[in-house]
Amino acid sequence: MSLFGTSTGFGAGGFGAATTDTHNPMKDVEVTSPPDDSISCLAFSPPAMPGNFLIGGSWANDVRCWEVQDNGQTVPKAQQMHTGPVLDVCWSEDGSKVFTASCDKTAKMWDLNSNQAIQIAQHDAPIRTVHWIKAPNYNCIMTGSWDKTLKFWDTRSPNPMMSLQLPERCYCADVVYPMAVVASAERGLIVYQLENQPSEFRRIDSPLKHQVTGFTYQHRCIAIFKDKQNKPAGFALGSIEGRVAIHYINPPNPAKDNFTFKCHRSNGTNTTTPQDIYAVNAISFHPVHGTLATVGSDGRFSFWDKDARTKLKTSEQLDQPITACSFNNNGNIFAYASSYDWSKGHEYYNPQKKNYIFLRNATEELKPRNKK
Amino acid sequence: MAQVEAERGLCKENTQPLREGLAVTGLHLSHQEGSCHAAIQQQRQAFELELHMYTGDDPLDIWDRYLKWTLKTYPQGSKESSLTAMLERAVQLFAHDKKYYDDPRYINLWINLAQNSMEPLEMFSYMQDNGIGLTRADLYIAWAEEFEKHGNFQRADAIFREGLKCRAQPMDKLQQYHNGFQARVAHQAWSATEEEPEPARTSMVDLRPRGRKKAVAPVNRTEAAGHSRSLNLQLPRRSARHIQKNPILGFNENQADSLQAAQLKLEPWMAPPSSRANENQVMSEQLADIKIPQKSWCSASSVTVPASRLNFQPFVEEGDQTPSVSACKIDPAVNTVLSDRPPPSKEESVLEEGGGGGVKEQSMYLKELLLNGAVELSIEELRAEHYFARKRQEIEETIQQQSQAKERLRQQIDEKQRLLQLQQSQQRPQLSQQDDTGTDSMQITECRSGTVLPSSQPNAMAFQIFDEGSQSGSAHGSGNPIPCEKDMCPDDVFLPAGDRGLCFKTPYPFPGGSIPLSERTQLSKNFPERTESLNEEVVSGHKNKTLCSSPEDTQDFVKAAKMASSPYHAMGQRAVSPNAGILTKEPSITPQLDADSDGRKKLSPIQEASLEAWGSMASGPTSASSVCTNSGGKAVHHLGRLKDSHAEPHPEAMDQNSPCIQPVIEDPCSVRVRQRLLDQVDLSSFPNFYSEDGPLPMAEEDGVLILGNDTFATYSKMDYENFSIYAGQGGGDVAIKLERTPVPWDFYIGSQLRERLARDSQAPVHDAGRCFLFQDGCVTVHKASQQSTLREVAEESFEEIVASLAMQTVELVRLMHSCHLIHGALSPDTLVMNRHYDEPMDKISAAVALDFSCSVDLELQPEVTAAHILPAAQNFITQDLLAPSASPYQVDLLGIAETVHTLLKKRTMRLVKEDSMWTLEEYQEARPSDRSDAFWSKFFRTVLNPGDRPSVSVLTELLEDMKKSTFACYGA
Repeated sequence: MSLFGTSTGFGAGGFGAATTDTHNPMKDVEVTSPPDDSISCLAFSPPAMPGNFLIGGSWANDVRCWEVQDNGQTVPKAQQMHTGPVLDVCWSEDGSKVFTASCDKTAKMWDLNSNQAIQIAQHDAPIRTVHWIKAPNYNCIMTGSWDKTLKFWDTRSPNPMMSLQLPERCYCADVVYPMAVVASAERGLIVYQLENQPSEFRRIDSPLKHQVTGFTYQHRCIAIFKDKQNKPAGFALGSIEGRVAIHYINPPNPAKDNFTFKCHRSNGTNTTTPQDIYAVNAISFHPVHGTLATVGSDGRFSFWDKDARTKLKTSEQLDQPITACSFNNNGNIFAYASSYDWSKGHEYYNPQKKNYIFLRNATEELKPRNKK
Repeated sequence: MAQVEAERGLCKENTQPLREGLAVTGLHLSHQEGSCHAAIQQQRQAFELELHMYTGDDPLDIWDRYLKWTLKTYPQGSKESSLTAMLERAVQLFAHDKKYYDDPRYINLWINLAQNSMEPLEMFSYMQDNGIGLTRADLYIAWAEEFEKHGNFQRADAIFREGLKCRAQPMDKLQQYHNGFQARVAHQAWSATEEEPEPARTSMVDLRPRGRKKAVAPVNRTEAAGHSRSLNLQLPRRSARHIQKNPILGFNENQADSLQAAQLKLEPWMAPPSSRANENQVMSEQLADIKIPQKSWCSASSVTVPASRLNFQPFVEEGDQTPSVSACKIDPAVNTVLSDRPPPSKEESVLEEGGGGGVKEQSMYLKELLLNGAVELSIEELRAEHYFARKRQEIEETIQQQSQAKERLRQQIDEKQRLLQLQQSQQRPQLSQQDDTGTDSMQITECRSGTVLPSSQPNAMAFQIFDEGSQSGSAHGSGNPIPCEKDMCPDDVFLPAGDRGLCFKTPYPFPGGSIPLSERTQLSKNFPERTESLNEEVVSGHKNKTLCSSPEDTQDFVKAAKMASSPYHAMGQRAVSPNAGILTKEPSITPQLDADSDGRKKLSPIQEASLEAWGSMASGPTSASSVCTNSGGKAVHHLGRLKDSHAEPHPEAMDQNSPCIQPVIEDPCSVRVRQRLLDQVDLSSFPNFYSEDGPLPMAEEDGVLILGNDTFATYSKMDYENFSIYAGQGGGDVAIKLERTPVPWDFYIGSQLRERLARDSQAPVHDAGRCFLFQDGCVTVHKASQQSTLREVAEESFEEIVASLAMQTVELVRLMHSCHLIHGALSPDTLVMNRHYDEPMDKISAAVALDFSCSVDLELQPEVTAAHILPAAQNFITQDLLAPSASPYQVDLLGIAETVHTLLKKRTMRLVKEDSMWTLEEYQEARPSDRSDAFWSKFFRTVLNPGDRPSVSVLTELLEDMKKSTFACYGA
């Protein structure tokens, strides 16, 4: 039978067979032909592209491209392989190319028109992050690696345009011109400015630092948010222990404006049993509303309004962790990937377990409260 | 070496002494940091890896070795060694495990930590209070030495006595150290006495403690002054006794006890004292559960939260609030939710700022795994390590397998060589015999595939148009900063974006008639198979599946993606464009490019889907577009089935729609057609055919396969589009071909070839092998004396050998055609050389085909009258190489050209048309003087331009010509 034989739209449910399953408790649309191993990253095509294309990278070494049609139907389009697990993907701003970062220590440029991929970057260790930077005077690819460097690549040269030393291994990064932020192992946090050329702007003490004990938790995911003028204003930093910090770069009142909140924990109200804390696996900001989504090892996604400081929604619990998420360019679609995130190590890995990517209508649920 | 020694000499004063001495290697490493840095890092990495991956029950062992390695590698205790961090983590790691408390290795970690910390004495006290190492002499010795360094002999002695009292092991060691200590003290006391008369002494050197701390001078010299100068230093006991009389240095048991009580029974410890003063150092996460009195010696020990000591239980996060934050931005008018600390409501909980107020927490990720080493890891790093470890293991296994295979081959070669020698000695008499009996000694049998390239390869030999538009592509390719060959399909590089030269096929007719345009454009191009590794699984595991039929079947992705070609299927128009196949030096680049951009624009004109639109989509039972796609899906489904019957080399041919022929001619190679044909044939009457009940047996590499009464050992496996071939053994070397369709077409063709050749007494004997038919597949077993495919042979051979291979290929096709069989899919990867080691050099036997899955039997399938019916021909028709109405046999001639060219030039053909004759670009201006040029030029002209002549005569003539040529190395 055809998955979309009866043309279910977003949020309408109606996957007869799936209703009893715990793999899709939110009754969202399943992307056809998901990867065969954990999904490490998702990215939707930029506004410049007509339509929606979704890229997903996986631990099965592949990067896949789907077209997401307006009725929610997904059409597998193509795939490229790395020789190691793929850890991050990003788009060029015109949507013609996709950049992929892999454990094979390379980054590749995938030209979607010709379906060719060529290597464009090389590190001494697996590349954890890849981002496209479009500046008025230059375009480049920024790669962050576990070799403790951050490199900037012109896609035509074998040598990086610039290489910056990081204090530690790069764990996550985000770019919204003219700002880039990199979070590293041992709680490193560096903001870069990208005007003219990339340069270190400021090192920040991890906002995930415990106020009293000084313990900080491992950085796991980061996403830049913008202000009303559509300029990068700060970032949300997710930790391995169920906490997200909202941090402004130049807040009028740092003590007031910056804050952290807990998320992806169980037994929230019950104080008698220990609270289970899960890793925050990914953060994504809604492109229109500025609200954010977090996904966690607990198999839930949550929507938050950082300005009102409220939670907008928490999903039911999936039977697997959620490892990645992304909004499409107009914020109508929220894609999230359900697969094992290795948070409990090798023993809990079940290669037979199927991975999913789900698509959810994101317009209504991510509207800030009390607005309009 | 001398230089090294000198270097060492320069900085050895910084070298910390080790009890067991320093390893010279380590010292050298440490002195040549530049060169050995990488090696050290590697070793460290190995330890870290071991720690993170360890699953046994004695992880302390690794730590112990790690510590010893660190001490040896960084004798100067450089910052780089991160010794303290490592020790801290190790010590904490086992703090909950009482079984280690008396483990000398654990005590050693503690002692090292203490000695490297700012406040070693605190550490020792902590150990004692927590019962760590109370029975180990080492603790007391180290502890006492620490006191001694500080000049506090009294307490040092007390410590020794305490140790002796606890009967710390080994007792004699403790006793020995104690004696030594007493001797030193006595000596010091004595020398102090001695020096007393010189109060004006300027140097304090002798009295300076050995420790790195500058402690106060220990001895009250005035008190000691009364001692006799005649103290016998050889007798420590006596001297000790003397010292005891000293009111201050002296010692008596009672006093000692009280001293101990005063000094050692401090208030209980919350946690080990910190070993470092630098507050910015990150404390281990492990400590999240206990409170560390950080900087306790200078301030703020009040910060310490009174948790139970060494309690690694969930941590109370009291201080975790940011009170200043929680008050902000609350609009009381609007917000009912944002009270400072509201009871979290289910629906709408406020982002709890920081503190949760006394909620116990437990981490749901494998904290220990991430923090096992001295360096924390992220989940992904751990997983990547795991991935790499597995990969390394796989590689090692492969290497092992290969060396085994190599060994096997070597044995075979030895054996064959012996046979060859034997044969040569008998050769002359045999030769004359052979002339009489014809070709008795020729056997077209043992075909073998040792390591045949995977099925994704055939594309590489597909034809290609030489295309000037490709310059940009190739320029880009060569300009590629990091040449990474495996990433660049050679056949892609020379084509403009998205083009695959003659690889694109004229679409095969859909039985149902037309297909939606959107589908057609999708089908237009090949998926770059090189980039897929999933192919094999698709082939072996997922047959006859509808495209994207079930979300369970992820393998469909490849199929689907294959049809989709490039994500934007930009080249959509190309395949159906009438110009597409024309081979010229001036291809219509401009129109193509236009087509590109058009295709791109037309692509998925998805409107910005509003929520409303989606809503309506959802409510409506079927939207127009889904109808469209569904019908497309059905068509694709059918294609999938067609495709199954095709192994290679151009399975895509089927996926295409041919505009130039009338609809509804059934694919002569489809499974259904063959099934029907074979129903007319009594296969069971064929020799060596066995029909087995039950499903296809499981086959795996390095396994055992039982077929009928025979047992085969299987070694290496090669996967193709629709079948796998194992190299195996069982009554000699064999090639075992497994197909997942229960249609033994290969065996049928092979048997027909054998039977029909037998009609002609002159013809060589063909061995069709053995066939085992199962319910869901069939297995064909060929004897295999040769391990190499033509491609492999050609890989490292001269042109002369290739000429021989070409002749073998021609001979095979000639034999088949003479039996009215068409091979249909010649490929260097499924043809095997058929020259036995012991065969006379001057015989040309036919190459052996391992795969007949695209073959057609024209005696059985008389409806195949023209080339266009064959799926394999579509490719050539598109290129205008072949007229649709041409004889179907000509497909194989072009197949020969393609195969031989691939062997010769290791790339695909670039064809040009000259005076209505096709020729290859490289032989266009062949110099007749060059033997090679002349030979190949003629060869290709012949096979590419057969005209209307029957293929058998063309091939016979060609073969004769080739044999006459002195070029081919063993032409007759």
